Amino acid sequence: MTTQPLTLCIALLTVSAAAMQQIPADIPRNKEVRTEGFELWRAERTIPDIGFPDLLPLVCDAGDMPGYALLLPPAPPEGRKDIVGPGEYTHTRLQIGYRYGQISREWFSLSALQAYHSGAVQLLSRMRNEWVQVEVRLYPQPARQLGQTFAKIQRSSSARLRRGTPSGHWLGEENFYLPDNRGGGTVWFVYDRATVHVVASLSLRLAEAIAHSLLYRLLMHPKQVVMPVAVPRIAVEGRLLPQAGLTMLGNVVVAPTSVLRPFGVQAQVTRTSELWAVTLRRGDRWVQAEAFGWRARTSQGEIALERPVFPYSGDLVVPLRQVAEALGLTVQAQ
Amino acid sequence: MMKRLLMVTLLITLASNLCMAQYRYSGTFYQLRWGETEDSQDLITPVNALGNPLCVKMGSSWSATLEGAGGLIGWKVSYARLRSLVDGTVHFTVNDPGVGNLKMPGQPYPLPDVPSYVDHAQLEVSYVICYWGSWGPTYYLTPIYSSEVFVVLDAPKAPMSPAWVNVLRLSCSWASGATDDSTAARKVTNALHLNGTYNGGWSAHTESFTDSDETFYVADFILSGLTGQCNDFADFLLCLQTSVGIGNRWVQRSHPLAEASRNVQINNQTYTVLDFITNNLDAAPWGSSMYDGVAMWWYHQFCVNNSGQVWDGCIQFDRPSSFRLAVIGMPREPDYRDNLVDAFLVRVNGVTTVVRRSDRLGEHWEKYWMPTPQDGFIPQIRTRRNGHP
Repeated sequence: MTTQPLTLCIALLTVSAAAMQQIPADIPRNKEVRTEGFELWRAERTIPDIGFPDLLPLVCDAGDMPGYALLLPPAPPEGRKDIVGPGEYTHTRLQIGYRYGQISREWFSLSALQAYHSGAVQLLSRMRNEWVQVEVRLYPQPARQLGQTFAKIQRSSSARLRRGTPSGHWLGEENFYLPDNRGGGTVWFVYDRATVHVVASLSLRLAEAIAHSLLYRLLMHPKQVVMPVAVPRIAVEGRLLPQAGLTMLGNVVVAPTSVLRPFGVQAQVTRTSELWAVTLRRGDRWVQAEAFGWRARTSQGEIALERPVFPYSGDLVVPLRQVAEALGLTVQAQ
Repeated sequence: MMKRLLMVTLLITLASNLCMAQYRYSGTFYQLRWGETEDSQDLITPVNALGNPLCVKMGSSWSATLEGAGGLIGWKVSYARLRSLVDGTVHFTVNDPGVGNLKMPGQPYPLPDVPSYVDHAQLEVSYVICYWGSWGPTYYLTPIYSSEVFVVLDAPKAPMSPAWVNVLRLSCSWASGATDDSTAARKVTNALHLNGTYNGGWSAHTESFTDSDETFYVADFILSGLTGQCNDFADFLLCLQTSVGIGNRWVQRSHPLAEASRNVQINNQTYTVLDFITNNLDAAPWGSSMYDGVAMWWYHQFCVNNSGQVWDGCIQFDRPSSFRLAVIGMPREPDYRDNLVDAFLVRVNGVTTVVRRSDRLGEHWEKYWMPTPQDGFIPQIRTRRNGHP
């Protein structure tokens, strides 16, 4: 690994984090406002109870995507028209309008970014060969009542969409995916007021893992923007876990790894621009997992996880029972 | 003290006169709108005012004019330059220093002709104006004002009538240098294929589908970085072409939407055309990208004229001999159809069969291809889906 992508990544994180703090509270209506890679827009009439700050927690943070980073393009040389909307490119777009509030964000692979900055690739469309894009919408009422259903989307689509998820795991109330011909593709789901759309051009499994992480974000939102799920009380080694950070994705309880610390579990985190991994140890047992990974290596061998591992608020969220039991802990739902 | 007062008075008078003066151009200008909102404020008026974006016919003559308020004695263009924003070419420069050769208010000051090809340019102009001031004739050199200029083939056509600035910025750049319809159409089609990203074929920026209509959200498509399905590409290509003045264009789908409308009677049996399997495609963007290869589609949408020629910025045909065939005025039948379709999925007597042209059922190949509607349609265009009810 070279230091260049890492430096680039850290620089971008710094800039975007700063920009997030500076989103103007009141922006003019019907006018796009661009600042530090963010684009904000709100219509003349907007849905109630959603503001720009409410949308930000709904997508992965800038640095949550190992191997990918946000693009902040330099001002193109005069006369260069190689990116649509030169000088107006934004990696994160927030809009609040008549029908929904929406946030979308896109990352490019570190190699695509290097190619762009070296001038080897000049087209945004070409960079999308190594691309992750997420889009979350919040509607004023359950989205399915507003036509956000598989059947209706299929009727207005030229391709045959595949109902379900690539893994077959539960994800929201309705879902579909559309694989491309190279291993990547699109995953979409609807849950209560929200719809989520993820594209990952290099891996459909990555797209689905990100989609699960976005559902977690919706459920964890401080303003409870979607219908909460009932989470059973979980006891580890006979002691009840605090509910903070725990939720159910389908029938699987997931939680940040930090909830296991009181049980003698030590975490060793490896975080670079291309990898975010955690090794959890308890006695002679250990579990190693990576952000957006679907498998974990353990002291007893490799296991397929019931839900992917994903970042949230600086920690990695894991399927609780599988990881805890691999560490020799007993888990009971009450 | 008195001198300073006189100077302030003079400046105030001058400023108010300058504000009231109407800087205009005369020539063949077309109505524009910004493409940001749906209300009447989106229209750019007047169409020929200094500082506004201007849409002007290629090769036409134009001139600057200044309608004065009281006190204006004469004026002229002191400096003007028209420069391409695409490649930096300076189309003309006018340098007319001094205070001679003044025009009367309302009298035109001819500028060199508009370039005789499509371009996206910037016009910079400054004026010398002569006012009757407190001490007699007073001369004033204005700052340099600039206007964005879209040089088009002809008057923009529906659905781009009036044309949208946010579309013209792309179409006039991409078609820059074109002097005729077919060249401009080829350039914008290829540029869309190069810069767009096909999303695999799921609903993106179009809605309210029927077999003869749909609503296309132009600003959403542009802001998405030109990402969408075939409907979006076809509708946007229509906008690109019509914005530079190309007429005789519609969009059309390969098949009707409803299964019930896809029945064909052959030998007293009902054949229902379901999906079709494509040949090898280079989906946008040009070169290797996510949805290249073979696809199965319920329908495909493209841009067409009344001679049955097709333009398609969403796909190119990726031939086995490793060249790509762009769809730039290709006859819909048989060329486009047969380059696009490898096989139809046809249901007869409850059994679905893959039909290739060489198969026994392939003798009715033409009947499985159902361009809809027959004469094409022009979609409704709107700015943003989220902007209005």
